[in-house]
Amino acid sequence: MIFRRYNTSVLAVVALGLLLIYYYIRQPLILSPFGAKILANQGTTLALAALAQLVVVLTGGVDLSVGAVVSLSNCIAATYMGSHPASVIAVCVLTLAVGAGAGLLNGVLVAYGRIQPIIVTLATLYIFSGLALMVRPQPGGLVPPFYANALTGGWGYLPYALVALFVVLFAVWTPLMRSRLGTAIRAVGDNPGGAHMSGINVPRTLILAYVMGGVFAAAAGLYLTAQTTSGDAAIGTSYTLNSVAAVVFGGALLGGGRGVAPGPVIAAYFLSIIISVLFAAGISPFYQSVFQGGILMVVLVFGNLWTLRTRNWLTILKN
Amino acid sequence: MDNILARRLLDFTRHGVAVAYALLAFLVIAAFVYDPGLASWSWIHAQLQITAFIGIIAIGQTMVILIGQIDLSVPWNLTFSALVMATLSADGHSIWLAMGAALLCGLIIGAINAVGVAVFRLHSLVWTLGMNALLQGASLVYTNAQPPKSDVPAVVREMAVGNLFGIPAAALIWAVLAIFTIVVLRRTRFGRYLYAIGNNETALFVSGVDSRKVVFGAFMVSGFGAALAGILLTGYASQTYLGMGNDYLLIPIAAVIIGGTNVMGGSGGYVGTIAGALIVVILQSLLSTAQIGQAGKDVVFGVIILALVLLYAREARPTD
Repeated sequence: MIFRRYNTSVLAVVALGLLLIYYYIRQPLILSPFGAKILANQGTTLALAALAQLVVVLTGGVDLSVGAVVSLSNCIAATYMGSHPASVIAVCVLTLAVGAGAGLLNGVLVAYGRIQPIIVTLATLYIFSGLALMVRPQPGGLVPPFYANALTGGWGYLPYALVALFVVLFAVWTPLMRSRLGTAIRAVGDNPGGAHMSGINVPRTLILAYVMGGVFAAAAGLYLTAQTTSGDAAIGTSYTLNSVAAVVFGGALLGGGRGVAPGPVIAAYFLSIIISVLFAAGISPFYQSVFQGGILMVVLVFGNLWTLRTRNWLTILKN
Repeated sequence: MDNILARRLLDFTRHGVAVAYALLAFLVIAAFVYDPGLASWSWIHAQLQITAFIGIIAIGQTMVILIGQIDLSVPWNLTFSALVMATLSADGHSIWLAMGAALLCGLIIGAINAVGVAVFRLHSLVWTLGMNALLQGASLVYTNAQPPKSDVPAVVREMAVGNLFGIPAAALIWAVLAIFTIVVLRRTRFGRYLYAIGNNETALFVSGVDSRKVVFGAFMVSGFGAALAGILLTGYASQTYLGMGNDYLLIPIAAVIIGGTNVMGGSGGYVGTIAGALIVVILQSLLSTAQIGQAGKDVVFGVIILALVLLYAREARPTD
């Protein structure tokens, strides 16, 4: 039973497993405390961005502004963080609040504005990346070393990145998804009319889902700040596509209602680590987007190969 | 009395095309009042020049949105096709062959988009987003991240920035294509089928139409339009460069939506899109005149698009 719940994640787990085995053959050094740290750091930003995308996808929407929120929070964090622990904590909280505000704007426009999520988030993508550029017209900023170490360092074979991710997964994601809100989010994604008839407040659920998405995207930006130790208004762009790719690869259903966190998180590590694997295999970094786009398309096609076997096209149209 | 007036006003705002043209008229008048210096042929000339590129992309985007889909692969389709043309012509091939290859490239990309949507029944949003990334990588690999630096052939430059009877050649190309598009949407079977798919694909299918072919048509028009815009923009900027398509994702989509086409498909048309395209271009031009930096421009533009969509392109209130 518990395994069936997670069987949509199998593809991502197998893919990551094979990738790591190949990487180990090419570069045995990855099996060291240092290697484990590098591997874990590489995928954590995208894993958090994937959670941001997942919670919105579960409602049946899509968030094209994830990348812009990552950029915005990265710029805010790197610009205002300072070096005193108190100011660092304050700025982290502020950044998460800005993420929540960004999500709130998306959510209100979707729920009460009754505009398609894709149009809302395409427009807010411009707004948030414009704001990021206002905060930080040129790349730069200052990040204290202890902040970077706390998130990207490691203790033996245990990278702090994984600790941070597990805290987010088990202290934030799981309780939220097991709560009434989590059930409501899935219900709204599955069948908004039915959810309304069962007494779920659909607009409120949508708004809270987008707010959660904004907070996770801001968390991704905070992690990215620790990783790059600088702010850059253009840095988040690729996270929109890759978060969608991770969610699809991780077995969540676009259109809503279905999806569990492990798949997208593991897929996020796969999509991030494959870039270093390509590098280790001597393939030009120019192929990066080819692989990221190509993997997404291949996974999508494999997921829908059954359409070719169907005799009666009508059964497909009715889906 | 008041009530009837209010209801008429409400009906009017629900009619997207009328609102779009009213808004356009308002915007032009506001622009002229704001800066009387703008009320000149040269300003109008410049707006038409830029709108032509967006209008050409918006032809395919209108068709794709009418069938309830979206094409997010425009930016890198445009860039990739332009790079194909520039590379072939830099290698000494005839410019006509190079342009033909670029347009063919756009058509093929459109066809691949359609395969995913029509045959594999995938969400066009993710499928074309994947396509966009794939083409971005392909552009880097194809040119080794160094687009050809050679001169743009005179034909391409003439098409993009030349004039005929004082009107930009690009705008004339757009006008011909626009009339053709309006006729196709209103008077041909293909046009009616586009609306039918947006409303109820199953109904169209059971009435004996292979809706998949119609989806192919829509996406291939979009691919072709992106490639043609790529060629024209090469002439306009006198060069090809990576990222030349970046500004052409939201703006044509915004033009279609502001023009009153339903995002979910099934209603709207190209007449509205023309107004939508002019609105977005004039807005951007005014924002530039107001000397706001790029960041401020992005923010204001996003806010205005949202405000316009909120004004009249909302979905019906769920009635359950």
